[in-house]
Parts: sequence; structure tokens; C-alpha cells
Amino acid sequence: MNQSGQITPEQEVLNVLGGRTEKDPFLVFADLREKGSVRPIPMPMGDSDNQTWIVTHMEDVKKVLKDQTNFCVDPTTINKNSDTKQFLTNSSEEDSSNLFLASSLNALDEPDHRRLRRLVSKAFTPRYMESLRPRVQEIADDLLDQVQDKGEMDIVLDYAYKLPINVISDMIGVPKSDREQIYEWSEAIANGLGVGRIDNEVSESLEAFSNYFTQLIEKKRQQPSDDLISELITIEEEGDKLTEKELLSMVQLLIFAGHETTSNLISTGTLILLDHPDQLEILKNDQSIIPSAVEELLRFHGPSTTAGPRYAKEDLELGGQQINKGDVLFPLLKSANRDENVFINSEDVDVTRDIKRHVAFGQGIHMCLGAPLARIEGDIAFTTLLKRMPNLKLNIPRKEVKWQFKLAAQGLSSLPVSF
Amino acid sequence: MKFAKVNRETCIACGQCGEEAPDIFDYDDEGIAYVTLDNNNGNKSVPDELWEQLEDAYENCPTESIQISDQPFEKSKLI
Repeated sequence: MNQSGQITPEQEVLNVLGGRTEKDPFLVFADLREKGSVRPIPMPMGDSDNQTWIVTHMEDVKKVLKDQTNFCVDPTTINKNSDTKQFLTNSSEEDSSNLFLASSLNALDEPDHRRLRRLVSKAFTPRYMESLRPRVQEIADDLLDQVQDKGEMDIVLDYAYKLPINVISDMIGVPKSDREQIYEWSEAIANGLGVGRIDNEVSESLEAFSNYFTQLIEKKRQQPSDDLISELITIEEEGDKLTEKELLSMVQLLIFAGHETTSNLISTGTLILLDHPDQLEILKNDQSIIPSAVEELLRFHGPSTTAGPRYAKEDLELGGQQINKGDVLFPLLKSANRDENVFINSEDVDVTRDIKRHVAFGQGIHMCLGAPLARIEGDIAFTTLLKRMPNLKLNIPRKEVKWQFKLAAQGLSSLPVSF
Repeated sequence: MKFAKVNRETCIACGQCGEEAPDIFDYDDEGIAYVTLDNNNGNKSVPDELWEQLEDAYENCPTESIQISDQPFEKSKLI
């Protein structure tokens, strides 16, 4: 609190990222943007003298995410003995939470990042993603077949989570019977993990998640099939391109990132459309604009609140602030996407808006590997839903729809609708 | 005149340029982008009507891997 007893936006944003406030995160982000693009936040960093910053304007968010000369994702790139990462993830080198959070693709700098990303990007090429369209369509239709006659469903449980988890599990090679369990662990992780926050359930779920995939990899080693895990095992066994630890870490990241985020896009996107009947009407009348409407939904309320922390490799100036080597920066994606300098009426949702310049998928070398897949899933999910259920309505009073802490901000665990 | 090529060393196969400019960019089997006009040599000029697409792709490339020049790349200093 400051002298007048008010909580400052710099303090409040930490509460948002750690799930300790009921306040609308977008109001907090707007307050911060008004105060400046780069703001110091009071984040405890152990014995380190380094400052933590939040980056709120589009221009600086992009700069931090793109400029690899001055920023990195692994603090040990700057200082071999850095314990910042362990501090932020609250884990030791060998913990499963560390393996998941700190050793995966999104937390590695070049050249390791490039070596690993190349191995999997082959499986996520835009062309291959396009070829999955019929399968994604089939899954979407199957899910709606199961509820069509009932006249009601829960968007989150019956549709939004089941679509992406089935797509990514097919690709990676997770058996159908195990997907429910994967969902439960992922939910516990997404709901209990924030900036400076790891709930007990998260550690337990991460360990269970990790044990499950260790065993699955072992099974696939004995009995390979036509899936990504088996392909990666072949690469690992060939020699020096992929270690066993990297393989496990990669598979976990792909599964988690491959459904938790897209599922949020579909459920949150549906709520936004129900909240804005004029926008919903536009889409019902012209489904050809759904792909660009998905971009607007990603901009307006994308799944990821912030990109992973970046570390300054040198002393530098950013957004008028002096940043010191080793300082930690959080590029706030959801704030950049509402930047008044970039988007007209940035706080309004407008499905006819002609934009692609949002940063919901991040930016730079760590930009979301699954972006082409997420776009296809979003397109098919909304198109199929609106085509088959044109009378979609919320089935509970609006005030009973509860945001819950998820992926470092708001998500939905339930959204009952009728149609 | 405008000429374009992709720095295939820094491209991360994200698929953005093909979304913006499907008439200019395509991907190889690994998803790495290239300019289709002359197999990414950057020596065949991009038709005027595609300049807007090209500009969008250039601005949206997350790794700044798209290079644009007023001259063919074999004559320019940009590699």
C-alpha cells in the first residue's frame, strides 16, 4: 500500500498474476498502461538486488520478446550461478515442477531452443495443421452430437476442453482412456499456478503428470506407434539431438500448452460473444468472418496473461526506465493487446476489426508453436457451434458465471448454455 | 520494385507469413518459409498488387526473418 492506504496498480498486478484479487484484471492493466509502459513491481526476489518490471505497452512488449541480444528467458545465460529461476518456480533442479516449468522449450535460450524447436516444429507445420481440419471437424461434430438432443450443455466440460485435448492427444499419442485424467491434472496445474504462486495441488499434479508421461514414453519405446512421442523417441535414440529429460519435458509442454490454452479460447470466447449479442449476431449472419473474429477474441481476451519472464542481459533503457543487467521483466500480453496507441476503441470487442497484430501467441523465437493449430481449432469450434446451435443462450443468470484463477488470470470452469 | 526473401536460419515455422500473404510465401517440409516467386532467391520482383500483403507479412513476422529490398538480393548488400 502507498501512503494514502490505497493499493497501487503495481501492487495490484501482482495480486492479479497470483490470483489474490477479485478485481477486473483489464482495469488494473489499463491503470498501469496509463502510468507508463514499463513499471517496477514489488516482487520479492530473495537476496537478489535485481528489480522486477511489468511491461504494458505493445511497442515495448514486442521489443522485449523479439530482442534476443538484450533479453533472454534463462537467467543462467547471464549468470551461471543464478538461482532466480529456482526462486520464481519455487523448485529445485530435479523437481518435476522444475522440469516442467524451467527446462522446457519456452524456458531455453539459443542454441538449445532452436535445436529442440526444430525437432517438433516439423509436426506443427502450417500445412500439416491444415490437413488435420477434417479430423478436428469430426471431433467437434461428435461432441455436439452427444448433447444436441438435450438442448443444453456445459460449454467448458462438454465442448471447449474436449475438443483440443482430443486433437493434441491424437497427435502426440495419448490413449483415449487416459485423457480424462490428463484433464484433471492440467486443470489443477492451470488453476494453481501463477506468478510467485504454486499451490500444493500443483506440485502433486506435476509429479503425477510427469510420472504418467515417463511411463507412457517407456511403453512407446517397447511398442512404437504412429504418433509424435514415438517419433521423438526415435530421435532421442539416434543420439545427440534430444536427451531423455528433454523428451519428457517436451511431451508435457506440448500436451499442456496444446489444450489448456485453446480450451480457454473457446470457452472465454463463447462467453464474450454471449455478452455481446450484436457481435454474436454478426457472426451468425456471416460465418466467413469467423477466422478474423477468432483473432479479435484472442486480442480481446486471449488465454495467456503474460509471456514467461525475460531477463535483461545488459544495462539498458526501456520505456524511459533504467533496466539493470539481471532485472526480470514480465511482458503483459493482455495489456499490449488493449494498448490504446495500437487499437482504436481497444477496450471494445469488434469481430469485424481487421487485425492480426495482436500478441496473444507471443512474439519472437518463442512465439506459440501451436498457433496454426489453435487458429484452426478456434475457427472450427465457433463455426460448428454457431451453425448447429444458432439459438445459443446462457442457461444461468449472468452474475452466476464465475471467473476463476487460471493461467495467471481469468478462466472459466463452467459455462452452462441452452440452445 | 520490391524484392523479398526469407532468412531461413531465423525462421521458426510459425505460419504467420502464409496467413498474411499466401501468394508470396509457402513452406518446405519442415515448415520453414520461403518466397515462392523464385525459390527464395529474392531476385524476382514482387508484383505491385501483392505489396500490401508483403508489408503485412513483413510487419507480423515474429522473428523479423522477412527481408525486403528495392534491388534484387544478388546485387544488394542485405543477405
